Amino acid sequence: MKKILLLFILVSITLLASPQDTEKKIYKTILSSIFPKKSTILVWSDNPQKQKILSEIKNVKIADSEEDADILIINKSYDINATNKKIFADGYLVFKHYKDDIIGGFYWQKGRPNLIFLKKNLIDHNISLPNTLKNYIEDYD
Amino acid sequence: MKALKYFLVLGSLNLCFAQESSMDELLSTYETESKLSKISKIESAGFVTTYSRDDLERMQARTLMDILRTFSIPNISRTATNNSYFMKPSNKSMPNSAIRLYINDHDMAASRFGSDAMVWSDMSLEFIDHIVVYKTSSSIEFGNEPGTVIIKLYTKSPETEEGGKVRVTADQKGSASLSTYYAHTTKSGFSYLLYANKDYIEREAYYNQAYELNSDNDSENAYANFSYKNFEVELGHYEKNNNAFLGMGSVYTPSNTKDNKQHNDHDYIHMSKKFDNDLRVQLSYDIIDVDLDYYDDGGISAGSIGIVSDYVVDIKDSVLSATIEKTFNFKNNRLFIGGFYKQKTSDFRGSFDTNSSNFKNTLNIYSLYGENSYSFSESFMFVTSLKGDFYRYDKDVKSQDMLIARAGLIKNIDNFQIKAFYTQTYYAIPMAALYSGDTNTPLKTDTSLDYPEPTLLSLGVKYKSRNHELNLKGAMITVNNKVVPDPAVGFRNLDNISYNQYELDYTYYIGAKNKINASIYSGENGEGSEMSPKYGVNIFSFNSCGKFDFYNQLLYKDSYEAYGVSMDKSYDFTSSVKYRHTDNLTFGIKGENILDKGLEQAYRNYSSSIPVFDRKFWINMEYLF
Repeated sequence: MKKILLLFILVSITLLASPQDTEKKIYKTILSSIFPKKSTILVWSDNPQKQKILSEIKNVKIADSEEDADILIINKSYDINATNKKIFADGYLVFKHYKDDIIGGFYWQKGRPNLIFLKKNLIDHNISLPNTLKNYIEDYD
Repeated sequence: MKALKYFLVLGSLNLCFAQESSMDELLSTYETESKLSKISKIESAGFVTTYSRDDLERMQARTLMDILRTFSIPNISRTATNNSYFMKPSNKSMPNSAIRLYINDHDMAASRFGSDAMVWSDMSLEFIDHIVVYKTSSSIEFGNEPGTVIIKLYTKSPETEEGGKVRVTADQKGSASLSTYYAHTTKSGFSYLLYANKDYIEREAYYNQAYELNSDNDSENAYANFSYKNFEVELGHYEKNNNAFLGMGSVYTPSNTKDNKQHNDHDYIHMSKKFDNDLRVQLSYDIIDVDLDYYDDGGISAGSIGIVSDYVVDIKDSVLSATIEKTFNFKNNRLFIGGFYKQKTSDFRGSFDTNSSNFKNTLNIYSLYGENSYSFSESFMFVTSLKGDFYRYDKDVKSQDMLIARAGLIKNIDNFQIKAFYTQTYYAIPMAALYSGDTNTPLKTDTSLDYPEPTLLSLGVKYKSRNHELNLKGAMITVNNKVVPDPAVGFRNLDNISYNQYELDYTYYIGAKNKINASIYSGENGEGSEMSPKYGVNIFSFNSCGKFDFYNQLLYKDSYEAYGVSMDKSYDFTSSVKYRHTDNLTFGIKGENILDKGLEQAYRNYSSSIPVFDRKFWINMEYLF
């Protein structure tokens, strides 16, 4: 009820679907493109809000630990051994920190959402993205 | 009318043949939804209008004035001294202190003039993320001093910017503007936003006999925001040199040999700390320096001294403010309580030909306030607010104990929302109208004036569906103790002044990137006088197609007569196109008041009307890095 009250007082003006619904669709496309043959994708995230969004995607489950996960979606952890793991950034600073190993990132920068896949690291992880995402593959220095 | 047809055709055209991939569409929709979801507005605070970041960017809004000129009620105009002021339809002007401008939670207060909102009306907007405007508000929800029009500007967030921007604009008259900002968040969570702007604005000059009426201005604006773990420090600076336009002379003959201008310099620091238990503490300090340099060959009235030719004033204001607020959230109830102390000092030094006038006074304001929002159900909320403000001057001016009371309800029924509010509030009279020293120079004043006390009854009905939004708003206002000029005593109080206002507003949304908005409004005062347009119609269209954004705006206002001068119906038509060359580089062109038939303003003792806004054509380039 408390939440209802707060929602009632601070009403957002959006007439569209919530951004979380659209974010789910974006992550669903990203994950199914990285793991086209997996029926269940185990994801680990250090961001509780992201965990909630990811957990509501069909075929995605939240892993208990980093070791169990197929992919790590990272927002603020800077001390992860990235060499043997598929890592995807959920923040610009993390993207920059792991740029030598990371598959890509979906984060806000310059006031807009950015989706980037790194060509060299995709090759290193033996990932081939579908044509619909080819425009988002970049060489990043 | 050709322009109107063009506008309507253009506005209704939403055929876009550019091909976007499904991921492009998803990202575009996600961006729009995220930006809209960040706009939190307090529905119980009055009638609310929002300008999202998308709106501001597609309008190519350069300054706050680009937004203020699109208001339905009140309309904006300019004084003889080239300052901005608001006027409600039919009425002459609103008191300055009724308009409150906030950058985040900092109120642009002033000591001598009550509020500095109108001085900041030309501030650049590049560091602003979105704007929320509250009308017929009691302003209790924002703490601070009372006002009925609350303009809240929210700055861009370092967390989502992470980078910088440069924007350069220029117009056909020789104006130029440069804005830049940079934002960053460190791995430890410390974040900052730095912003700077410089404007040189050339405006149309007019002539009264051989006297040039020049209203060019130049300004600089800077802002910095540092935050770490719920502690935030903001620094703001705005400095403006405003040429005097008609000036202060009784027959508007500003000297051609001397520099007629107003110089404003406002600097502030604002610190706030949020605690985990919904407790918030704020501390702020403002320094405001105002220099008025007016020289008029025909003479300027200077209170008891009489008519002078040289009118030079230096005002140094300071405002110290400390606020504490706490919110309690219960099962069906939200209780918000707070209090503030504010010290406003004004130090005035005037030179009027061979005479001079100096005085200084300090106002201490003590305030306690609370608002309770009770939800009977998920669709029915009742709001009550109470605020006590206690004004204590160091000398000369009598103390005032003021009360604001408000009760209202918000009821949702399916797609409809009904809002009804009863508000008893007041406006503080600025020191300039209350106090000008022993000699009543430069203004005749009356230190025993009572504060004006408006009572507002407002009703709004909103219908909202996925593609349509319709708002019907009305307000009945009665003012006791209205302050009116009186040649014999300077100012005096007047009782039972009534005013009614109405507005119908419709928006048609076509997907995430296209919308058309139209509103019709009117206002009438009890005396039946029409010192400004009584009716108006505003139409806006926002359209996007591939790499292009289109924005069109038509502001129609009815004819009116003031000071014996008749003003025709006005059609202020603005159109702009923005081209996104790359993700980081955009170019734009914008025509303002393209038909040159925008609103005109008459002035006492001046034989013709003068346009409030020039016809201008701007080009601009934006680069993100």
